[in-house]
Amino acid sequence: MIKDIYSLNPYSLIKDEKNLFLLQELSKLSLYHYENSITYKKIIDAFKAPLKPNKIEDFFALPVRVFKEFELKSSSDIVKTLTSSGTTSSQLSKIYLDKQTAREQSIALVKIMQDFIGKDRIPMMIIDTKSVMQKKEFSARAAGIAGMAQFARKIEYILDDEMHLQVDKMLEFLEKNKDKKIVIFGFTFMVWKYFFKKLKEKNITLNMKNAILIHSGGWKKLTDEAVDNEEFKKQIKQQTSISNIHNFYGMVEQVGSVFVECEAGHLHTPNFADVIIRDTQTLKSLPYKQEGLVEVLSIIPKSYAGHILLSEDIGMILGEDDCSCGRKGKYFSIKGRVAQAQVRGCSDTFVK
Amino acid sequence: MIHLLNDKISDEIVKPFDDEVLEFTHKLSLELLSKKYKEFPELIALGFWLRDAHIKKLEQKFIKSTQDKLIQARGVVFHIAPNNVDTIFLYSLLLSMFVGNSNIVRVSQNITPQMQMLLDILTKTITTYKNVSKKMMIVSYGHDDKITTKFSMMCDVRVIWGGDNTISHIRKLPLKATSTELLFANKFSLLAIKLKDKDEVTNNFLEKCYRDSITFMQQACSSVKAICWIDTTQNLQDIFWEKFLKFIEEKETIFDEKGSVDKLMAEIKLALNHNVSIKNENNIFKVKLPNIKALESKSHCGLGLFYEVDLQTLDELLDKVDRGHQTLSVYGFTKEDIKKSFQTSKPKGIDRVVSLGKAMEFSPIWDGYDMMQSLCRVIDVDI
Repeated sequence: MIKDIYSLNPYSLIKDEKNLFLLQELSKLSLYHYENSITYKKIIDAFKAPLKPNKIEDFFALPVRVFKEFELKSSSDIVKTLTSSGTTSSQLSKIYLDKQTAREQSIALVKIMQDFIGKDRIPMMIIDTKSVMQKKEFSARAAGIAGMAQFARKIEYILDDEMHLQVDKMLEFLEKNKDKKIVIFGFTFMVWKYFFKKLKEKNITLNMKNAILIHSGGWKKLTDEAVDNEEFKKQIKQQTSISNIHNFYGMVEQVGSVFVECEAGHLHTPNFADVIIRDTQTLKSLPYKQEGLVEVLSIIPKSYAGHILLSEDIGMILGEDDCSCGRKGKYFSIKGRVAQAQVRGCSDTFVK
Repeated sequence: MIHLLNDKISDEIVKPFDDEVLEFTHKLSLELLSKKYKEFPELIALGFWLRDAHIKKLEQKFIKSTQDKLIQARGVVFHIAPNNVDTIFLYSLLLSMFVGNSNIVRVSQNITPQMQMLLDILTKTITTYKNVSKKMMIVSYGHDDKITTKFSMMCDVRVIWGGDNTISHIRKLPLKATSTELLFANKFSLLAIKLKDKDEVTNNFLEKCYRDSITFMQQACSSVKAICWIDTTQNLQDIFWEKFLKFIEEKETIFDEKGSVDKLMAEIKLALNHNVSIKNENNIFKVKLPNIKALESKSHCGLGLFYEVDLQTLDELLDKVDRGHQTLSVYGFTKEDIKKSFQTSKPKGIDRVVSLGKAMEFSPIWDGYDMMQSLCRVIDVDI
């Protein structure tokens, strides 16, 4: 029995230990949500899904989209509501956090990020506008920035409200922190469009050898420009000399337990989270190295039943416990979103 | 706006089943049934529907139903085709041609390869038939109310092939005061089965169930989406499913990859409102409803999703149907049974009742319209 999972190195549990740990924790959580959320109970009952299965594959995974259409709350003591950024859909996810869940999210994120950027607080440059933090509803973008801000000694937002790169402000920040380790954080698409492309356009090459770039938020918009992770890293390195670049996969429905890309280019599952890949037709779990729908599991969500979620992303598990970076646990890759179902029949002609 | 065929149109009216029109459709049928398209069942079905013998029958029916009246085509018909392939709008176009109208067709900008193929066949075949060609125009444009209004003001009948959102949007755009409109809203179709013996579940029976439901990814308006078990034991239902699932598996049926999450969402929505029982096997997801009141069609996405309900009589189903219900495929009922049930229940919906296996066949009576008649004027003569 593991007493305090957060005191361990976040990538330390090996297959059997982790499996046993997750089975226990997720069973407890499933029962908790079953007893505290009538919505969750109705769903579990209708599917006759086990609350205490023998394998983690046998838990019922709620489609992430559920949070866009229904309210799931297992706590009456909500302190914060997160909303998704909703780039592809007009409906927003709503995630209800109580104190404990919010705290655990932040502890988990700290443990994960420390493994990549160290324990000291360091200067941080955010590729976003400060005003994103001042909106009334807490967006996924704001939640991501707030999460990362925990590691910052000093924060500089380098986009103005119109998303223009404030070059002087940026150069001043870089000059002040010359030779120091710094972190750059932003959403993948924004890093590309408002930072990298602007630098390129203005012919500014930077020497940021000591910087670590951390970015997340999906590749959809970049895929349209035919930019993949490799190309992204290559181009950014050319322009800024940053070689330490980490993408991470995560979603507002499971803040905290994010999956960060290691030095070998693989996304890693920490001790308190996991992934399962499912067949897109039958939803049966697939062996490693086969592509399918990504299911994410996390022991953190207690105030809402988001502990086992079926995403609409396609990915593949590459291996377990044996990544060349040395981290234990499953490691995987994300290929993109599932193809939009082609509606046939008398579908709408004009209205999208 | 792109003109896919002609940039102007003649509004000259020709007589029903004009010789040159028949020559054109004869040629079109031969082309569609040629070996080149054997991998496209929708094109073959259209070619088959257009063969001479069948068109002759249509003509005879039309003549019979109009023999005491003076009948004339309405003039110009503006067809707004659905977003994706679905050859169904072509049937409405052809019926309109047969009765002598001129036709403007708007197709989506998002032209699929299969749609392109169909357009190529059509435009290539029609060039030899100048008088037929000049009465047809095919255009493609985006969501442009100005253009839609222009064509709407030109036409005598506007035909909109759904869905509901499109209909409510385009309906706001004006028509000439003398024009009429045919609307094909989103529809939901059902299958009523009465099984008495397990030997009835033959391969032929399963083939018909498959054809009525899974064709077009279960997303056509006449696709069976719910099975109503009339006075049929659970044991027989279990036998049916065991065999039907195997049948579907052997056909190697693959749905769009987004389908599984769409199906789960539909199931969850039902689960939150009703006491349902869900069983998902392979890529077929099934929801047993507690009663007919729980049958709601809105969130059904097709792609291998079946709602099921146990009923004692057909009347129980007919009492519940509404205008959103279109085809009722039946097994285990005679024409007399159906007539009687309709007379007692006076249902608010259901536009077609067909024997199992025929749900996908197109009929000139569709969604409650006799289409050929609806595209004509009846002239009152009192001499």
